[in-house]
Amino acid sequence: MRKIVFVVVLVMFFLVMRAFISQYDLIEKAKRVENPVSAVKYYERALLFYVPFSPFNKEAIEGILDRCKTLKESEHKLYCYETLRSSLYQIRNFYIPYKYEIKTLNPLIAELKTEEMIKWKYNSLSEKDRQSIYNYHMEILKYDGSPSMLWSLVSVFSLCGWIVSLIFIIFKGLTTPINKKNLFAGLAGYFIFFGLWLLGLWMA
Amino acid sequence: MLIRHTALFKLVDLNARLNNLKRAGLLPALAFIVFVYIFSLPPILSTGDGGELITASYGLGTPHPSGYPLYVQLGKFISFLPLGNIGIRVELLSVFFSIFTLYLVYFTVYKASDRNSMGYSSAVFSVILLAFSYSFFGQSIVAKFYTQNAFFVMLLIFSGIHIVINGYDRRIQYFASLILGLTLSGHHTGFMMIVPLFILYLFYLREFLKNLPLSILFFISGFSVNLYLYLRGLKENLFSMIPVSDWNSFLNVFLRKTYGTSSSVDLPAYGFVDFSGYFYAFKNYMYLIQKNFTFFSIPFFILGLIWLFKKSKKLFIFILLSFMVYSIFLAKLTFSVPEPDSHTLYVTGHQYFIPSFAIYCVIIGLGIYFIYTFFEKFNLELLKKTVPVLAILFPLLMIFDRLTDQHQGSNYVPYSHTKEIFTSLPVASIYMTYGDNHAFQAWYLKLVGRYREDICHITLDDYRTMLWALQGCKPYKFYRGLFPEFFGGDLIDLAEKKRYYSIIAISEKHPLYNVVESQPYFYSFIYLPKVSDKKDFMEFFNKRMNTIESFLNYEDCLTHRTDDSFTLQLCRFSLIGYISIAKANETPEGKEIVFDQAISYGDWTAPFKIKVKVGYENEKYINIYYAVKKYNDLNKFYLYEGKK
Repeated sequence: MRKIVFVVVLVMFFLVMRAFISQYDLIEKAKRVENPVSAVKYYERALLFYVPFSPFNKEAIEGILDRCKTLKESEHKLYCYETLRSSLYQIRNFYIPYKYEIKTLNPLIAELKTEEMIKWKYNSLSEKDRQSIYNYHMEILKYDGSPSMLWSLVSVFSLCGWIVSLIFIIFKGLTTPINKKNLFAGLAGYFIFFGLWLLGLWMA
Repeated sequence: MLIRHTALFKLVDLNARLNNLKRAGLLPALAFIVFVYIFSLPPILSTGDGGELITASYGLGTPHPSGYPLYVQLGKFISFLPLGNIGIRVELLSVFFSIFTLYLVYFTVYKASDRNSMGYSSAVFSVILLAFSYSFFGQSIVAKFYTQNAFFVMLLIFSGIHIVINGYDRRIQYFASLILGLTLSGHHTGFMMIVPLFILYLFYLREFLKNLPLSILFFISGFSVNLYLYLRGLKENLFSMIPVSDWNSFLNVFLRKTYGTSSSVDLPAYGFVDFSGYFYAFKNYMYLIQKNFTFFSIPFFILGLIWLFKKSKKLFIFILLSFMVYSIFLAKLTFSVPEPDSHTLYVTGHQYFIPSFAIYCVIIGLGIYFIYTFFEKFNLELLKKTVPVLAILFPLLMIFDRLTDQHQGSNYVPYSHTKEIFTSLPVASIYMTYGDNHAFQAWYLKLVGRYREDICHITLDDYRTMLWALQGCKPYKFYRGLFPEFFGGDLIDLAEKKRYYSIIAISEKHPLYNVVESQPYFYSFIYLPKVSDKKDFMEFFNKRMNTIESFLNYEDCLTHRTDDSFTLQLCRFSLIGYISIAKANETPEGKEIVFDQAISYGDWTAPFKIKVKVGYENEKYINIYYAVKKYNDLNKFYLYEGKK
């Protein structure tokens, strides 16, 4: 068990190290480039190396938003806002960091997309279609098809739980002679976790 | 008397300290391996199955058959880690399983030696050799299930060795049964360990049969992880390659029936027909050994086998049989073509044989230990002290190769290539992919990254049909409003509106060939009705290319530093982007260059021909084209180098 903890700690330590170094490096690059599209790309990558409490997270978000303001073309603006929104979704874990930004970005993105669709001369759309198109875009942007956070956690923890319970039954319960206390404890753990696992998979 | 005892205790204490010091070598070695692996992980996602497995893990969905339920659930577990992005978190699974596999390699060598400091050095040698071998390294840093498979195989081997060395223990039999059940929720080749284990348990037949009923129960418990496929298939979820809803569809996915003769049921039978295929299997497997460990490793391998034979006949039979199953037998099933091409080497040679490489390194480690015993026997003190150090340092040299061929720490290509395609498309476009490499990354970006959700991504299963998978266009109720033409079946209308894009250039084999033509458009192709006005298209094309020119990104394809075959292919695919931009910026007085090539889609190719007038205005794009083409030469792939 100590060895597993050692490996986990080691992996986490090096990942934090890599993420932090990369954030610093990418933000420096973003500051140096003049092309706003390239700058957005570097800020995006810095944000994708998300480290909790790192000052670079906020700097990357602000960097992207600042560059979005400088872009003239609406397609470029769309790229910029979409990039920030997508990055925030990609760094989500059991919570979505900086979730409030997504709420602000959704209407901006829907508006830009609606404008683009109406402007697209091959579409033969007019002003009267604006509201319905905007609504379609908003519905898609708001819809979250990912599984329930709570039930996903229940199911994956329970999976580990019932596998560990089985190993416990084998090595601590089925000794010679049989250790009844451990065997019953293991069986109880197995049935509880197995039930929770099934429930979690169904509900998630 | 007392003084003599104290001196003796001091001597024993000193010896123990020295041993501890030597043993301390494993931890720095593992720490160093973890460090290199972590810094070599692709920053967002890896090519091939990576995008699909990350998406399935995040969405608790079902990837391609056999569904890999254990991997997907562990992927979901690790995706909760509040660090980095979802892609890199799922990639971490491979690092964990890789390190645990290396740990088991260490224990196996150590246990099969005489468990002294020399056995320890040999075990560390095996760990380093395996860790920095080409394919093991490559699989340790991508989002794939092959290191998980190797871990289970090594766990089963370790359980067998434990039985041989420590004597029969029913608990080990139960444990092995549980693990065998679990292997069926991963890559099915792990289950092949049942053969060597069964042979081993024949030596303990009476006890084995006595404990068989409970073993079957533990096996079923392990196997029950597959219930996941059924439960998640019953519900509408974020992503399912092939949903499981009843017994037949479960068997279809679990037994990989969609792969025809390569299904998990039909494939093993191939090992018992056409025995001449074993010649090619042996030849091809030896090629992999040469590329991963060089032929210098073979004498150590033979010495290792001799050591095992000397140590215990049972051990010898068990380990040799395990090795044969995962090397020659598996090669006969999957890798016995006369001349493997680049694709076979990448998909099969680079992935399937990871367990056999782990066993190979175990045997090599024992070969090294066997040599140490000679030093001991003939009292060669100097060699005894220096060889272990050299033995550990020697495989470390391979790290320099790995940092130039397998290092993916700066490989953004799978992410950026897909993102730039999405960015280049007009709002509410259809984007059609064919083949895994483009589709899997698009699923990641669309379903996990939620980038450009206005795009409806459809996947073509067969180039000759119009049968699509719509994983990237769900839920339909929302997309119907944006794509009435598509959901109404009027693709021509969509093409007329210039909102139909694909990575496929149309050839005569394509069902739309008579009504639609394809034109290069940035990194993809636009589909247009055959009767469309050419002048109008050129006007549209020039305007669009100028608008999206700033999204052109060639840096990633010139700095990825990996020889990963799929990365090279993506970069070569992006070449049409540089030609497209050059075409949009051509001047009448430029010198005409014809780019006439073919794009390969599996069994056939689609033509790609474009004339560009190259002058001062667009010369730089042509230079980028040649630079990217040169940097991403497909022959760069290390396993393919020797074949050219």
